[in-house]
Amino acid sequence: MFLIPKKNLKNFNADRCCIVLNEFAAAEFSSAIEMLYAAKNINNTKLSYGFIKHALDEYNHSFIFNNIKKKIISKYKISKNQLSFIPMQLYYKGYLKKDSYIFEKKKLKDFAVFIGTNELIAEKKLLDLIKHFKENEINDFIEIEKILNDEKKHSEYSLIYANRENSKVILKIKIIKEKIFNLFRHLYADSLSKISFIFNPILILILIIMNFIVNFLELKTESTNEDILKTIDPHSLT
Amino acid sequence: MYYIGISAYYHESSIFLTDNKKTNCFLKEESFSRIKGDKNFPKKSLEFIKKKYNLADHNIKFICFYEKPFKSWWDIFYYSIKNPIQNRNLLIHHLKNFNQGSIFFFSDLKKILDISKDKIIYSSHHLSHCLFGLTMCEKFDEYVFLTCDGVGEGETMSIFTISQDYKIKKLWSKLYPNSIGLFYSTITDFLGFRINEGEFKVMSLSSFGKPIYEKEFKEIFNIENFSMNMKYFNFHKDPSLSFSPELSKIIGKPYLDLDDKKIFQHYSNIAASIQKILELTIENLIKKAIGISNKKKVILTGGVGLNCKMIYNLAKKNILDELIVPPSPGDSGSAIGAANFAVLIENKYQPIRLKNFFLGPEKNQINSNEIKSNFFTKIDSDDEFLDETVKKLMSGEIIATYFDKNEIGPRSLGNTSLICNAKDIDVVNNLNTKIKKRNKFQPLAPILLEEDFDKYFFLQNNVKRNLSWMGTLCDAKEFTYNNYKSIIHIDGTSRVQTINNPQSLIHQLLKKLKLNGSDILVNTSFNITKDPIVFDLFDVYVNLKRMDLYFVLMDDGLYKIKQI
Repeated sequence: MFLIPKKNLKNFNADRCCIVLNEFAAAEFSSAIEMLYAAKNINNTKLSYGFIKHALDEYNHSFIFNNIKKKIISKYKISKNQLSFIPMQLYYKGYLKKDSYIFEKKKLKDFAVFIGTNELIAEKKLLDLIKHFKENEINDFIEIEKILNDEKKHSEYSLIYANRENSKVILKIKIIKEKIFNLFRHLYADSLSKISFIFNPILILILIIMNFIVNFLELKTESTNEDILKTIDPHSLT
Repeated sequence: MYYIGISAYYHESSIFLTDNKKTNCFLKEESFSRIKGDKNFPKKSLEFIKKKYNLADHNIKFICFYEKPFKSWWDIFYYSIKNPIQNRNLLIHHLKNFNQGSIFFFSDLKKILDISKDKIIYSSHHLSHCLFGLTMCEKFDEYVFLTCDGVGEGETMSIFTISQDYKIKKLWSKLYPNSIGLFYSTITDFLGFRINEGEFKVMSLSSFGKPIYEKEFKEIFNIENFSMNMKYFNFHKDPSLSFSPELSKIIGKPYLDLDDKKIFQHYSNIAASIQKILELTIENLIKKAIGISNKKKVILTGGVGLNCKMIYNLAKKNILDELIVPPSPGDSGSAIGAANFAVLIENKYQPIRLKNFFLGPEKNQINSNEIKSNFFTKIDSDDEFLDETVKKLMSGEIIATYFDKNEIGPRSLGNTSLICNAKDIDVVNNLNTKIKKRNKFQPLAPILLEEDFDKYFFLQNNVKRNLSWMGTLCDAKEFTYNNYKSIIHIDGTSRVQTINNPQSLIHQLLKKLKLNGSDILVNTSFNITKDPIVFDLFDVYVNLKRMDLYFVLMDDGLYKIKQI
């Protein structure tokens, strides 16, 4: 679930640190939403409680990351523009799918593999972050270590369930599959700017051509209408 | 037969179903997805009503989208393509997001509902706003309908009238990019708040400042002819930055830290200036509407109507007999306007009339897996449960409410709220800054019985109807200062909600509270900043845990949260 472009973790500085923290906050928040959705839709009270607890942890983690970010913004006087946490961006950044949440698409035993694998990946990222914080003498690594312990607990619980529901070989294959998907998500996030670099000039060329065509159109928007219900075409898109 | 209105893709998406008799159901997609301001196609909401009302081709009369999809996309494009190099960032963004917009409404809808094509219709953006306004009044031919928002289908302001034989006339409109809504949003962005989310913060902030930039802002936006000097803006060129460096030359650096006292005052002055320009502009727009329609009763819709400080100040001008701003004047409420359009297309003489604004689904019946006893324990007390609630409120407890149905607008009107005793300043401050995590300069709102309003507050009669849904501010009387200081903003105003329905639980609670020596409660929405208002019992539980609160008042009793 972590779509953090790798370049943000290199050459650590306050600005990049905030970008990374924002991404962590977003990832945790989206994870909370997935867990809450699972809790609402599973027909098993015990598992539902488990998902709720998981969601509460993830909401809390998101809050902690945002708080650390705010402290750094204040301490280093960074412009907070582009750094605020906007829930809607969870869709744009690919943390959540607008068509369906993961729980809707996966069987419970596969959902458990997904959680377990992604929490393992998150653990690695958190260790990186803690290391960077320690190198830069930012004391908030203690808070992140607490998050790390939670994530360990989450991956452990999920993988115990996944282990019970899947044969060993199948489980290994599924974990590898999830890791590959995760890698692709990172590659996608990393390459977004490169894709724009290639395609934007082509789009500009198209726009110049369209400008030439549109210059021949003389369109007017009606600013008055005597009887709208009579004149409007309800089936028209224009 | 059902009529369904849908609003989506640009602001928080919503859906409204009605049979124009007894059944009404309003839903926001954010309630299901738990993403505040979710503007995607309302898939989960539609699936919910499909199941609840057994929707199929045979029992749906029309499904109406609130605007013309292609027109909406095209009008911005048509304006921008005239300067393709200068506006390239906006145009590229516009092209890349082509598949995210309302043009794909039909295919998004067909994925969920198999319905014949001729049942899918499209209203027009400002017309949908206007038709939502129509649901608010009986004698609609006495009103002139104004719409003012950022932009919709290339229009930013419109004036309509509706005659007794339902002839809807558009008398005038102003076109993009000239938009007071977009100017206000630009300043919102400049001050470091998010557009479409932070405008109400700018409104609150404005009370701390003086409009020292009024003259400069009048040169940027002409309040007489409503045109804008585009050299100060960038939103028409690049979606990532709304203002140009020219604006900074006048009002200084953007995105500074509001916690710095000097900056706070400077930014408050900017906020006060834009607020002043907004009020002058809408005053002139109302005068224009009255002039060309000859009607002195006004219904204002569009996102700009959410600015309740503006409503309060307009009321004092004595330019109109009545001003109504419906409880959800923005695009979300337009789902109701779209459904009204569908009704009018079918039968011109029976439009939708809304008598109350609690149109969400019945609570405790939203999710088939929600079982109250899984999360809460009913408090067993010798007292009646409302007495027990009052006892807790008087002892400084913050209590969540979750009963009856949800309201349609962005403001919680008591049924899904957090309440506390307004006399207790410490509790109110705790609720505002620690639990709700709001900015210090944003005050909380009071709720009281309609019969007590005049004892504590003052407001012109011409906007009093808006008090039922917190649609306006009002002046606090000196007596209120002495007893309920916590709910009064720095400028001496409060955003009051009055209750007049004796059947409602909140009415009964306020009556009981009165017997205990307090007339006013603080009422704020039951959510944490950046989260939508709670919807089902799972959300109630999770949010109470996150806020570290323990009690929730429901239809049948006071409940305490369980440890799971």
